[in-house]
Amino acid sequence: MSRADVFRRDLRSVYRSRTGTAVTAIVALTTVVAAGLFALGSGVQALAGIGALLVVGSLVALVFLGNPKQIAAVVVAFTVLAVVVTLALRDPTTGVGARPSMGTAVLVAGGGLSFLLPLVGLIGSYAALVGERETGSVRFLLGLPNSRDGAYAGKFLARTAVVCVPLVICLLLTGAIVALTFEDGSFLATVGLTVVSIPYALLFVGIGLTASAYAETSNRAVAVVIAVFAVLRGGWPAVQFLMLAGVEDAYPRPEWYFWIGRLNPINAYVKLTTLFAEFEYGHPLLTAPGEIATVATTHSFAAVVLLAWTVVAPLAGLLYFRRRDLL
Amino acid sequence: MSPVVEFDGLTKRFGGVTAVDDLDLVVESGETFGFLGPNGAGKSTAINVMLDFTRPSDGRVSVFGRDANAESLAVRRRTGCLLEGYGVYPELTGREHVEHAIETKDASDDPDELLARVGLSDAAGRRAGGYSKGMAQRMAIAVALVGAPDLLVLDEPSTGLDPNGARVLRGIVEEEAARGATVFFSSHILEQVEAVADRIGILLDGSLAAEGGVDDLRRELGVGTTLDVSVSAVPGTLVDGLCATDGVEDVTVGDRRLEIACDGDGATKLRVLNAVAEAGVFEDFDVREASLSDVFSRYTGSEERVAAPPRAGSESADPAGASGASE
Repeated sequence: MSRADVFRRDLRSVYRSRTGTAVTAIVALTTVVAAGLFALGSGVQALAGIGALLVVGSLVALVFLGNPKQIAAVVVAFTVLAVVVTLALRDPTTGVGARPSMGTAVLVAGGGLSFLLPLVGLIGSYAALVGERETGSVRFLLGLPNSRDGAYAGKFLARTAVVCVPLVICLLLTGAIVALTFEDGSFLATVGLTVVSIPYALLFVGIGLTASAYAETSNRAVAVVIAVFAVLRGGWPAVQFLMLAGVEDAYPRPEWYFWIGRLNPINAYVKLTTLFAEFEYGHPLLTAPGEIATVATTHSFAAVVLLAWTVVAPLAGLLYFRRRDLL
Repeated sequence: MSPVVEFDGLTKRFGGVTAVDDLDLVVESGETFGFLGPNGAGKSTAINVMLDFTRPSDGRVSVFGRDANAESLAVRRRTGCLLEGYGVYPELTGREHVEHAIETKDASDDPDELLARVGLSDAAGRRAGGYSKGMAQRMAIAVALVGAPDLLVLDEPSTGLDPNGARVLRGIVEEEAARGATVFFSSHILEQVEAVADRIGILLDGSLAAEGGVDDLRRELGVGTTLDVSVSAVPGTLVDGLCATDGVEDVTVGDRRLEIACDGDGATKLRVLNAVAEAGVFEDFDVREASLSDVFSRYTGSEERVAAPPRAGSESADPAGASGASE
């Protein structure tokens, strides 16, 4: 079974390189560490600041660090530092009644993941195929009786595991923290958040792998994934705003605005995270539909959009990889 | 005997460049075939098509009677390959590489036995990222041997090997051939190929320039030893005299130097050097093994050459006759 062989070999390589640890570190910081900080203190703004600094500091550290153990050590050190700062800044006058809400948990973990899972998925997969062509190990990979489909599927599964195993573990730990310390905290709701986060992660692993199958060099693959991220994150809303320029009265947003916006997988994911907590004023990352009632703004539509992206993203790369010249 | 590898009008173009041009070639079962050509002749491209790394622009290649591209997996199950530009997985040890190949091929080899065979036992537990080029090459040979393949494809296999490694490689090729394997051995160095090959094909600019048994080809191409003699002057009579010397096949006149292609016989060399010494112009000399570039330049006629005239015609240029007339 060549797929399983490729999967095992690739997973081993990734975990011995920096990628595996870096991915785990970023996922952990976004979920369990963030939730833990909120459990310790309750000043939302101060915590957001600490958390953001922590993530940025760790990311910068990752750039300079060589081996997995050093990366893990720095992330743990930053976490300890953040916990100490949080405890020091905690307002002693607020008592048990001021515990953070489930909404905060979904907002922090879901919102953070909506931004970082794409990065993590793309970082974890962009080099998977083109990297082997550059180093020449593709001659090992496909000199052995591995089919191209088998090699591609093995790579996809390995990179999926690299992203999803830490994601699931960290979110379940987050669930435990949330259930024990948050106001109306629900472990079950965190499990739900985990379930919608998995296809979201897969979709970016798929996009990264497609970029890797398409590109001639890993530099080109990086350029492709950065472009994809920029389009989804910035280009998509920019197009929506440009189209609004021709509209006389921009408020409330016209229906087509939501049809376009909700096709974006990032929005689809954020919409699905709102299933797991009450948002009185809507999710801050989504435009509130107000009076507009359309299929585009429903949870079911978001689920369909997310799954469609998840399926199409890796398949596009596979179809290209099947027929291209590799050397 | 049945054909194992058949190139049938294979053409491969990259953009406007034709790397392989209408190549027809048959390698029979059990044969050790030397695939010779200078760098850039298209050897690796032909091999890449044979193993489905690259798709043909025209024509086809079949291996074991199967289409090398459409049925590549079946082909590679029975093939072991060591390809030029091969890269290791830096995070895996040498033993893990071999184990992975054994698992992928569902073979039952003992990895340590294979590593011992290529002389890599001491470094088997080290990560391949720290291997020297020669060690990586030894490991790659071990990987190619996994599963006792019916066909061994070796593309420039001695790259990076020290003389000892090259000897090990030659021994392995002979053992594998004795076992009954067909060996497809590509190189730009004639000595390596002629040491092991039963038959040689010479690829020039993407097509086969010559093909035949080692001895036939040697005779046909006049490949032997080249004496590189530094001289103080080049008297025409000396050149003519050398051309007429038994065992001399070719004389090239350079600036104060003579390149004399002859058979490898010691007596011939002595005759040549004596002739130069008698002419009173001898300064220094060097013996070169025939390199493929000599053969190619002969083929392509890119060097100024004085061809050795046939024995019967030597009288017309007889220096003794000329001097006799003046007396």
